[in-house]
Amino acid sequence: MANKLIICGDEQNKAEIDSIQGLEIQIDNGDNNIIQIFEPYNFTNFTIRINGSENKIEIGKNAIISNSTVDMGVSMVRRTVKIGEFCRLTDSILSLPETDDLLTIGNHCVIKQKNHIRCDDGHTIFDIDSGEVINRGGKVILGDNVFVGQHSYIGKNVVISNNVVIMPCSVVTKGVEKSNIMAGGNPAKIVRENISFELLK
Amino acid sequence: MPNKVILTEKDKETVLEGKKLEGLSVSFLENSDNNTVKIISPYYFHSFSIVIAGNNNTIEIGANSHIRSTMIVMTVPSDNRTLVIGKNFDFMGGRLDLTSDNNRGIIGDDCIFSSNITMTTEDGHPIYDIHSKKLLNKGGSFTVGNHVWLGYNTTVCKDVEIASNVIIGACSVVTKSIKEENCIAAGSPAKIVKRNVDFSKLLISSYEKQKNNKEDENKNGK
Repeated sequence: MANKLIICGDEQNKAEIDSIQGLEIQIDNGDNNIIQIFEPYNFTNFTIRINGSENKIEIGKNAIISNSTVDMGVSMVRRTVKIGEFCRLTDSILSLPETDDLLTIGNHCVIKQKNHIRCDDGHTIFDIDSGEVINRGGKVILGDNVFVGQHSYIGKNVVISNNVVIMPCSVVTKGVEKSNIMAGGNPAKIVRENISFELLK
Repeated sequence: MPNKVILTEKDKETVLEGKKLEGLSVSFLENSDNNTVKIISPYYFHSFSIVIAGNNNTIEIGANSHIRSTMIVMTVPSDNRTLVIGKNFDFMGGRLDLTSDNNRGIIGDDCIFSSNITMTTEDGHPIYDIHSKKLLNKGGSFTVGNHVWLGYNTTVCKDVEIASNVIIGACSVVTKSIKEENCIAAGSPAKIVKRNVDFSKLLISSYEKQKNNKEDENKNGK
């Protein structure tokens, strides 16, 4: 099956198109990749790089994405990126190097400049005695209303709950299970509880 | 003696007159003399630039290097700086800075560096004690062993030595030497977080396939 770029007003109203303004799609090799985008959208200099088959990207309505890259440049299959409604993504990189990697970003999320979100480390780290792999990744999940400050790094297997603020220059290596908190630092820790943030128009 | 860019192919050295290799730009600034850039073929460069000011500076890059979006900065006019990079070097992007006279940078074989890496031999500006006027931040070198993986956005500060088979976690700031081999160091400042490990350049799925194949071969051999 061929690669598909689908744009929808809603679930019932789908149309297959060739290109979208502000979005560059580079598919090196592979087929049956599906990119589904809901209207309205606002893209500038947004790149999706795919190598491999059966990868899926879904971007919810009212997304504002600029200078960002979804990087599936390593030849692997069945990776999924889901970005919710009303999300803003600026100058950031989402990397999914391995098979079956899953990256989900909830609704009303803000990812500021120079952020890097990775579902896998990209190379293998193993125990020298047993040869056992110790850096297995697979998924990154961000809940609704998550704000990620600039220059942060979100690593493999991180699950962030709803209403969370990640401070600038943080390195998130473990999940943030609590809601309504602010976390930051290297490695990121909870610095404040019972907070919320509002997305200004 | 003039500045030279030398390319070695099959043990034969050629001095490049036009100073041009694909993906590499070498600039020698004004009044610089007797500087040498040595590159061993094969190489893969993309947006790689080298800027040198001063005299008697040497850069050597080993065979089979992949270097992208990187700057080697020797823009402050100083003399006798050396940067030696081993073979099979894989660099996604960053900046190697050698500031003062006699600075030395050494990177071993089989290293992989991610993007946004900064390595410096000096802070660039002096910090001193206000009473004694003694210089507090003297630098001079950085040394990286063989088979080292620097994660995304890592900074390696002056006078740091990283041993072989070490992994530096993403967004780390290495301010002190990591002298133990086979460990993971991470954080700001970087500390050892795990020991007795090694890494493979392969992705996990390819690594496991290779490992299983080897185990099967061993079984069949027996």
